[in-house]
Amino acid sequence: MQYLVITTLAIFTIASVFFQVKRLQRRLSRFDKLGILPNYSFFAPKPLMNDFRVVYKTIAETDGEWTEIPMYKPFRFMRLCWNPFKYYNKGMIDTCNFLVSEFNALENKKFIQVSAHYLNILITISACLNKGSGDPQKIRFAIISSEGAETLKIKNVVFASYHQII
Amino acid sequence: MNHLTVPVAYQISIAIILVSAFISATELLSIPKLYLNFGMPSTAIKNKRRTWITIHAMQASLAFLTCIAFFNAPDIYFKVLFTALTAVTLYSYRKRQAGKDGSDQMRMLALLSYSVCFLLKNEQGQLLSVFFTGGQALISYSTSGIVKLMSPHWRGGNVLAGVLSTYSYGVPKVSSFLSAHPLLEKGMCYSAIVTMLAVPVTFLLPYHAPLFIALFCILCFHVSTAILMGLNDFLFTFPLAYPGIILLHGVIFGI
Repeated sequence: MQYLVITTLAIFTIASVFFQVKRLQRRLSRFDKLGILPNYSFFAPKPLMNDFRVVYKTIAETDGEWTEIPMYKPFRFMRLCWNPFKYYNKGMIDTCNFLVSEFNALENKKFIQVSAHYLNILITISACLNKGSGDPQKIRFAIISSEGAETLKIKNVVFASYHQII
Repeated sequence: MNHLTVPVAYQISIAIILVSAFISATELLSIPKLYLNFGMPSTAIKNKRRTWITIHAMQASLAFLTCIAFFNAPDIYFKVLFTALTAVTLYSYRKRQAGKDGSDQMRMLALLSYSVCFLLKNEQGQLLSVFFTGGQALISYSTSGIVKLMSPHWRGGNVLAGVLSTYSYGVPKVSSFLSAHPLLEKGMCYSAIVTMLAVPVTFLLPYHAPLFIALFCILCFHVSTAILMGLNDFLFTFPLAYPGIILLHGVIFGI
């Protein structure tokens, strides 16, 4: 038992070192069934210097205004000890990133409508729109990237959805 | 002089893991409204919400009970509760497709390795588990430091104002201040790289003092990222590996 445990931890440590090399990550991921091999290149080589914002609008006889999904909260010192919103914020950023990379990789772009991340954003919008009970509505959503906080600057539209009924 | 013994290092590390697991679980539990489905999407939003609350309430309760058992109950209760905590955390970790970061990785690895080491005799298991987490922290700081050092963006020294200007990880006032003082920004960029690399570099020196200073500096760095960037989880998680680093260093150099 002793040797088994030592060998397992030693192999994992060596694998962790190799996993930091980007070229080897895909190969090693095949063996990592639990998804626990760590990637430690925090905020490098190029850190995120813009925010993602998800906006949506309803489409009826007349187009609605674009509305933003709340993704950000203002700075508070309290977040040194207590910051649950970071999970939601990171979750939204990850989902947007996954969706954009999936969209870029797809040959037939229409298939993006069955992507888990696309559906995830639709569910989020649906929850914002209907609060759980409402009639089906036709909507569009877009992911835009912005720079700055005090003086907000829209950089570009990263993704635009199809017309969806939710 | 290193007075850190294996049981003390183990106790410190376990206490930090449990505090970190408790805070993380209660934070996940209290995300105000679960609009985003962190796992695979499904139309059953309400059911998912209930599962989410159940899992993280269990995780928080188990972390609390394990902490009590660790200091007040026979070893076997602690080990059973700790293993249960690891299982629930792993389930939550696997389910969450989005919204995970480096501190989640470190906490998950610590929980898993400590649970696996329960299979060994007490002192042997304790030693191996603290060594493992110490090794992971060394890999982590080395990778993060080296990748930043090799990055032209970080070497250019104009990254921090950009990162801190975002809503996601920033404080606009600090960002504006740094933009107005490019030399200070450059200094801060380089100090982040140096602080990270200082841990593995001082680990290779046969003296304790530089390593302690490096660990203190990196802890201060985590405090600053917790305040400025909202990454408080790193502050509660990464120190769990410091006793392992100190012990491993002591064993390698026989000091």
